[in-house]
Amino acid sequence: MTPRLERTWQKKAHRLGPTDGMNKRQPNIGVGLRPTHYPYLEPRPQTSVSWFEAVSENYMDSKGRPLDMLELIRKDYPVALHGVSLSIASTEGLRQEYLHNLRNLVERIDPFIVSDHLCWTGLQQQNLHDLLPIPFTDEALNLIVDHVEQVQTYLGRQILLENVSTYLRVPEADWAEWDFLKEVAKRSGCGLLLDLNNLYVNAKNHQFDPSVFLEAIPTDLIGQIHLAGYTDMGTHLFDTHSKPVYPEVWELFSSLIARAPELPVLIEWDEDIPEFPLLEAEALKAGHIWNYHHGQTHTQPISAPVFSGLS
Amino acid sequence: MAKLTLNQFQHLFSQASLRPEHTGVDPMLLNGIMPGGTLTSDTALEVYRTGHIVRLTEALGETFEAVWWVAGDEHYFELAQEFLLTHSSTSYNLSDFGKRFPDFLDKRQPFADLPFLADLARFEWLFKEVFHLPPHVSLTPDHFHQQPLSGNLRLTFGPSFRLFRSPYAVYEVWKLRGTSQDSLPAKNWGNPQWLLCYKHQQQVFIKHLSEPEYWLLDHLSSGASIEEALERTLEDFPDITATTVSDVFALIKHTGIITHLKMDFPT
Ligand SMILES: [Fe+2]
Repeated sequence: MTPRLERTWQKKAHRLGPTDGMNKRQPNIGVGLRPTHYPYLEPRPQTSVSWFEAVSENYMDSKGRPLDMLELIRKDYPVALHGVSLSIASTEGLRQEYLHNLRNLVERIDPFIVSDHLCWTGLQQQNLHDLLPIPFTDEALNLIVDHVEQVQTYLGRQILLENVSTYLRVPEADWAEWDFLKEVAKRSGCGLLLDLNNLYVNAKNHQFDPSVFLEAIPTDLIGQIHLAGYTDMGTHLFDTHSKPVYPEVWELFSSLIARAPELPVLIEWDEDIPEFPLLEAEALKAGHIWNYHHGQTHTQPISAPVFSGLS
Repeated sequence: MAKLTLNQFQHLFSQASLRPEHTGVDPMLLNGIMPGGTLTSDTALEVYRTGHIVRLTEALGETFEAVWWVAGDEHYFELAQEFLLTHSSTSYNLSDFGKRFPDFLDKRQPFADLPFLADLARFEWLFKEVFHLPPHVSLTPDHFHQQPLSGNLRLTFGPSFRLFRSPYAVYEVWKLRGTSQDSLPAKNWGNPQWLLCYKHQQQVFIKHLSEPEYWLLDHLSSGASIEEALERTLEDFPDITATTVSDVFALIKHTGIITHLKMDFPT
C-alpha cells in the first residue's frame, strides 16, 4: 500500500461504525431490504429498525422499481450496500464494469457502509455466483490486499469484507482464518464485517473454538456485525439465512457487543423470509442484548437459557 | 504433493463445480482440500456443485417463471440443468443469466406439444429488460396538441418501447403463470399476436396490436417519417383503415412512448 493510502484508510479504520442518523447510545440494529417487503415498506410505516442493508447487485443494474424503493428507504434510514460479486480474491483481477456500476450506486445512495465478502465467486467466463473458499496463504493475502487497495482507491472510501461460511478448507495454509482476516484488514486498511453465524458455522465445520476466532479480532477492525441462521445438514452446518439466529450465535454476539457497543448489527434473512414484523422482532432480540450490556436499566440478566428462549 | 497455486486452485475448483453429476474430480484438488464436518472431499465439493445448480436454476426461474410453470417442475429442472452446464454465466450479476435461454429452447425444442416455449421465454426476457430500464421523459398529450402530427415528422421512441410478435398467444399463456396447470390446454395459444410493451411511470404495460398497427409502429420506430411509414404499411396492408391509423396515433400521443419529434425540412 502507498503511504498516502495507508494514512487515509488507517484514519478511517478508527472511526468505523455508524455515522449519519445513527445513535451511539442506542443499539444500531438493521435488517436486509428484500423485495418481498417492498409492499409493506412502501407506505413508509414506522419500524423499530435503525437502518437497512441492500444487496448492491439488486440495485446497481436496475433503474426500475427496486432502485425507487431503495431511494425511498434512503429518505428515512441510513443504508449499507452489501455486495456479493466483487470477487476480491479472484486471480483474474477485478471487473472494471462492476466497480464502475458500484461507484455509481454508491454516489447515488450515499451509504454509510460499503461491504462485500472475503472470497472469490468463480472465473470471469464461468461465474459460479457463490461465496467460495480461499486458501489462507501468503499468496492469497498479497493478492487480496492489492485488490482491496484498488477498490478503495476507485471508490474513494473504505470497504468492509465479510468472513464467509465454508464446507472445505485448504490445509496447506500460512494463516488461521482469523489471523488472515486481521492481516487483510491491517495491511489494506479495509474494515471487517464479522458474520457471527459464518464464524460459528466454520467453527463447527472445521472444528475450532469460536471464541478463539472472536477474541483474535480487535474490535477496532470491525465495522459491522451480521447475524443469521444456518441449517444443520447432519454432515455439516450450511449457511442458509433461512432461520432465526441460534442461541450459540447470540452468545457470541453478546460477548462481542459487550466490548463494542457502537457496531451496527444486521439480521440477515434470505430464504423463507418472514413477514416484516417478525424480522423486526428478531432485530429487537439483538436490541435486548445490547440493552443488557449498555442500556440505562437492566431488566434481566442474560444467561444461556434466556438465549434459548430468544431464538 | 506440491501446494496448489491460487490460480490452479480456482481453476480446478471451478471445473469441479461445473462438472456433470457422477464425473470425477481432479486428484490434485481432492488431495489439496480438507472437508468440513463429516463430509468427504468428494461430498464437500458436491455441496458447491449442487449449490451452483440450485442457485442458477432459481435465478433462471425468476426470469422465466412462465416457462417453468408451463414445463412443470421436473422438466424445467432438467432443462435448466442442461442449459446451465452448457452455457456458463459470464456476467457478475446473476440476474443477467439466461439471455441465451430462449435460443436454447428454440434449438432444443423440448416438447413437441409446446412449440411456443422459446417465444414465451423471449417475451419473459423482454419483460425483465423493460422492467429494469430507467424511466424516460416522454412527450405529453399537450405537446402533441401544440405540434400536430404531420407527414414529415420523425418520432424518437423512448428506450422502454418494445414490439413483440409471435405465431403463438404467449402473452395469454404468460398471464396464466402461477395458476393451475389445467388452465393451459383450455387456452387457445395457437393464435398469432402482435404486442407493444412499454414502461410508464415505472409500470410495465403490454398492449395488443393488430398486425398493421404493429408494422406501422415498427416502421416509425425504425426512423421512417410518418409519411414513409404509412406508405410502407399501406404496401403490405392496402386495406388498412383510417380508424386503425388514427388509433395508432392516439396511442402514440397517450402512452408516453415518444421522447422527441423531428421535422424533415424540404431540401
Ligand atoms: Fe453475512
